[in-house]
Amino acid sequence: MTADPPPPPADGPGEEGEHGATDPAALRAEVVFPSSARYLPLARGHVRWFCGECGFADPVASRLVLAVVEAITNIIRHAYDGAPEGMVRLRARQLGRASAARPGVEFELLDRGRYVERRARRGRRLEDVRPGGLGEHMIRRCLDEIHCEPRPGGGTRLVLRKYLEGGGDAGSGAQPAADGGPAG
Amino acid sequence: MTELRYDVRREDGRLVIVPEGELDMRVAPRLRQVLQDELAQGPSEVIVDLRHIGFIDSSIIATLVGGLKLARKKGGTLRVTHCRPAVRDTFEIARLLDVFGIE
Repeated sequence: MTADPPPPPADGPGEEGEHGATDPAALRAEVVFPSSARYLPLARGHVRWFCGECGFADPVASRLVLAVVEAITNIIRHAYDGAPEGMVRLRARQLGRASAARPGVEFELLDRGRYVERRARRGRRLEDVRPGGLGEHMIRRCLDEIHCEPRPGGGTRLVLRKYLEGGGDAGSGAQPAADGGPAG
Repeated sequence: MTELRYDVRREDGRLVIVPEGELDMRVAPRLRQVLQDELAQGPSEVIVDLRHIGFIDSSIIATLVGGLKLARKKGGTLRVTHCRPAVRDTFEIARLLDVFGIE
């Protein structure tokens, strides 16, 4: 699978103005909320709306909602250790509008909590099912690409991508995406 | 704090739990407590009826796994029924359809 290169670091120069700015007609949206599960319905509604606007229908749209919620849950649990005083930034960007790149959607999650190394998991036994590990597994199965990196100054940048046609899930067949790079 | 809304009934020796709304980490601890409390009272055959549920995540699935393990310790089981398509898909993603007897 040919994939777009990982997006530029979000903390680079001109972050706010240059994010997704190559095509002004491409959909972009951003929500910022505290690191509290209270805001999960907000995130679900935002992601569902954005997916619909980008042409995704169920079951893929629901899977994207699930993946983003799982990622946010991990931020709340692990990056902020359950403390609600942190902030979570959820950016959504429509892909492939003004170029030959594949159409799809990208969700970027930014936090300033503790950076936690992500480990690829390959299958689980029932005895091993725990919320965090299962969530990681589910994220990989719902997406085509996952990119995770620490942010300068602390925290994590997580980029999740799903393409509209042809893309397999990030956990099927080929090596699952761990940190950086396409899943295929 | 988000409350878990649910109905509980006992029929033919089985415990049927019927939650409502969207289930995520906000209500997972409460659901776990409900399962523990109800299983402690006797029934080991548990049905979790998800007909009113539009969304579940891994925290809920892990909670249900915990309930299943508890039920099995008592020689019983826990099944999930009446999943809406998106909820069924979540169990499928988790590869736990068979574990919970979901068709």
